[in-house]
Amino acid sequence: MPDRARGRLALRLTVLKLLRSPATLVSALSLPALVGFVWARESRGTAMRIFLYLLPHVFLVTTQNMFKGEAAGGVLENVLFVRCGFRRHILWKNAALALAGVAYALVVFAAIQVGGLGTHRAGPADLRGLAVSLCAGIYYIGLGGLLGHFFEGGSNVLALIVAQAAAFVGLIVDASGGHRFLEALGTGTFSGPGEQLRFIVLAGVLPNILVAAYLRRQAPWIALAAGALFLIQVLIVRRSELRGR
Amino acid sequence: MSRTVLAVLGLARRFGAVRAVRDIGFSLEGGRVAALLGENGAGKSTTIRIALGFLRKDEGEVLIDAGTVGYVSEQPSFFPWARGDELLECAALLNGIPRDQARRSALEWCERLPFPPELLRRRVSTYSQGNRKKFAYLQSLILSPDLFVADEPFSALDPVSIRNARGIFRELASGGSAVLLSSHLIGEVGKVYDDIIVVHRGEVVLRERREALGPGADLEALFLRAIGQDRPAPTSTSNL
Repeated sequence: MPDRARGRLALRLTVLKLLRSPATLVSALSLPALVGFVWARESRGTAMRIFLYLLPHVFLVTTQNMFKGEAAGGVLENVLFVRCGFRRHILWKNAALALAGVAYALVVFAAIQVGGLGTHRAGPADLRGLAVSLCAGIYYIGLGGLLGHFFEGGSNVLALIVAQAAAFVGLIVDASGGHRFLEALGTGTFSGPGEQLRFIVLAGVLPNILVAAYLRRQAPWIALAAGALFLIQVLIVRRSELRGR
Repeated sequence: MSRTVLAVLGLARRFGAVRAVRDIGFSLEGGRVAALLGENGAGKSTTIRIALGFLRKDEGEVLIDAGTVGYVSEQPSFFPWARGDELLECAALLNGIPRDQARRSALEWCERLPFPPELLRRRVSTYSQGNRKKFAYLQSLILSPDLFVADEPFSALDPVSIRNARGIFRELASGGSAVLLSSHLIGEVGKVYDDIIVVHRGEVVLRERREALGPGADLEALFLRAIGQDRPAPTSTSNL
């Protein structure tokens, strides 16, 4: 059967699942609500920054319960996935999640642009920010998807959020210890391999930071990392099987 | 002679130290119903699941010459958030069947199984076990499969549905499909089979066509002899 049909099936099943997932709906609806609130209280510029900074986390939330749970729960041992179709389905699901996330991002971004037509115009800075935010979101799909092969339910997302919390604590401890890394992060200029390594680790756990204007030039690396994560998933999925419940 | 729809050649698979199947080989022809028999743990389900691509094989080859493949697992499980009609549409979409045609076909099969069509608007996870099984049939039957495989096809079904399922297997075969039924219920598959394949401890120990067995062949006796259990069953004794 044509792989295009497999892709369409993955997209349909993924969108249906996302629309019926309370966690995804809450996160997808909370972001525009927060953006609207900040816009009303502060400014459109701040609202846009909040949107671009938090958008990747919506992508992350969509990866929960997408991989291991389905394979272990027996739902993939179905006529829809015979002849190794389950493997292609799992791989297509990454693309379906990315497509659904990008569509969502474009709708909210367009709404912000339309809402601000009277006072602002979409500038290249907004578009660049959106591109970086989408890169970070797609990286989360790669990372959340990869972790999703090992963690059931939403544990993949939880594990990453715990890692992010640990990174924050690390930053605070670092700053209180008199180190300059937080300052370097604020300017986007890192001196020495130690600071660069710390930046890479931080961006790997929390790619949202790349949305900051002075860090955007690092965004291509996160896009490459997303590609690498997807390739690792291909290797895992090629060896995968459904052992039953 | 009919064409070979499924050929399994020298299939072997280990799970750690356990050799689940070894050198399994058989073929299925279009227009025939094959019964795959064996004790618990003989390797029937493993064979089916390797043949359909759900499990990897260590050795051997599986050749499928079929446009569409139908499959009903022993205990069908479905996406908990999906409605029946959505999953039927997905099966149709994947196999290039127009939506209207799939819907008409589904309603016809609903009557035949029988399956209440109003359930299709509900989530499959809310169905009873029997209706989940019938829905798995429905999902495969709307595809008019060239190869139809069912693992324990009669489990969870009521007597009326079992009778109807037997009729459906014969109808599929008379339409040219190959049907493979893996079952413990020798009495039920005995009413419908054309070929018998007996698996014992991961190996095929008997493979025969019904014509060769002659009319009135006792399938249970054949099966028990093939697996070396043809002694009379022990009876309870009491010394009290």
